[in-house]
Amino acid sequence: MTQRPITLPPYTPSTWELRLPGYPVIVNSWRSASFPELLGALPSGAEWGMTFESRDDDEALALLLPWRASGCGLWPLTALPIELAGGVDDADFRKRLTGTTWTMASEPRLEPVKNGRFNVTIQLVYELAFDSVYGPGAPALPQTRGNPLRLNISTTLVVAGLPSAFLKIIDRRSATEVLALNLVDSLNAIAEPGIFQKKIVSRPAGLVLELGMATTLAVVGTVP
Amino acid sequence: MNIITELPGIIPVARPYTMGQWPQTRKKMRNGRVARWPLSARPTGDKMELAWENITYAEAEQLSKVWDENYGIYGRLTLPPETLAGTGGGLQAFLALPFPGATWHFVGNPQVIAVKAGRCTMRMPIGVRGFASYEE
Repeated sequence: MTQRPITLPPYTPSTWELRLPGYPVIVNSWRSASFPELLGALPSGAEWGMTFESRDDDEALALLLPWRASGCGLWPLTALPIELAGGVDDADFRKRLTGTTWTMASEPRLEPVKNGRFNVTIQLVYELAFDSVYGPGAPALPQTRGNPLRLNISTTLVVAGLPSAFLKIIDRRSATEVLALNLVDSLNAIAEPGIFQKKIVSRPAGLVLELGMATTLAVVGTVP
Repeated sequence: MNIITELPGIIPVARPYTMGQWPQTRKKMRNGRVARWPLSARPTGDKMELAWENITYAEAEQLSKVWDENYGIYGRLTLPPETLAGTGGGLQAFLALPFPGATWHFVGNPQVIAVKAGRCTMRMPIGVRGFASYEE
């Protein structure tokens, strides 16, 4: 496993919103009585959405690039600059924000506001399962082993004049095994190496929750 | 594990309260009438959303710690008089304990929204849970 640093640029967001992480609790109810059951002591599922307003071209680009560096949300951000929690004057609360291993939850959103200025919205998520699988940092995926993935070309999209293929990988092994496969090799096996821009839509934390069930990975490929 | 935590005495700026319902079952008869049977001698499902605006991050941390100490929705909450400030007499007593054996607890994840440097807004949904007992 190799690790490369993935982080956001040291800018202070104009606005942000934090949703505290939940704890694994099942509440059984009978009539008006409830019987909560605690399944674990570690929280998961925090969400931190932030908006950087009126940024210039370079700053906007710097905010967009970590999405690719993180494998489109596959790997967690290794460290967050303290500037992201600018304005938070309480050390404990600042630790809640920057001391958590965050992952980019979705594609950053770029919104032009006026000539040369943009608003960039970034959504981060903390999910316990992700850390338990990989830990912080971007791992090098191991080589393909076992049975090859079965690939289905389900539909074809045309975006901005470029033909794109939407591939769906269906594998009934456990999510952990699927993640251990080298998706790059699997895709290149059906096309020339390097022809696909990989984007894993379903993130590992979501897959881990589906252990023992049919697992679906969606991979979007762009054909030049 | 019995966890009961008291909310910090920070006065919220909003506190909308929605009453719960009696657990009941309904059955529509062939003639169109609806029959209802009560399933419990106590109501359930009361909800209240506590909102604090322009609080410091130290206060937000105090409120967040209660969520952690309660393991989220698992534990129970007690409401200090400050949480119900602005109400008096029977209403305050009613909100603190909507029915005998009731306990307040979190029903959703608290949210913190940055307002400006050093200030934030916090929202915390809580609800009433019936006492965990099979005695009805």
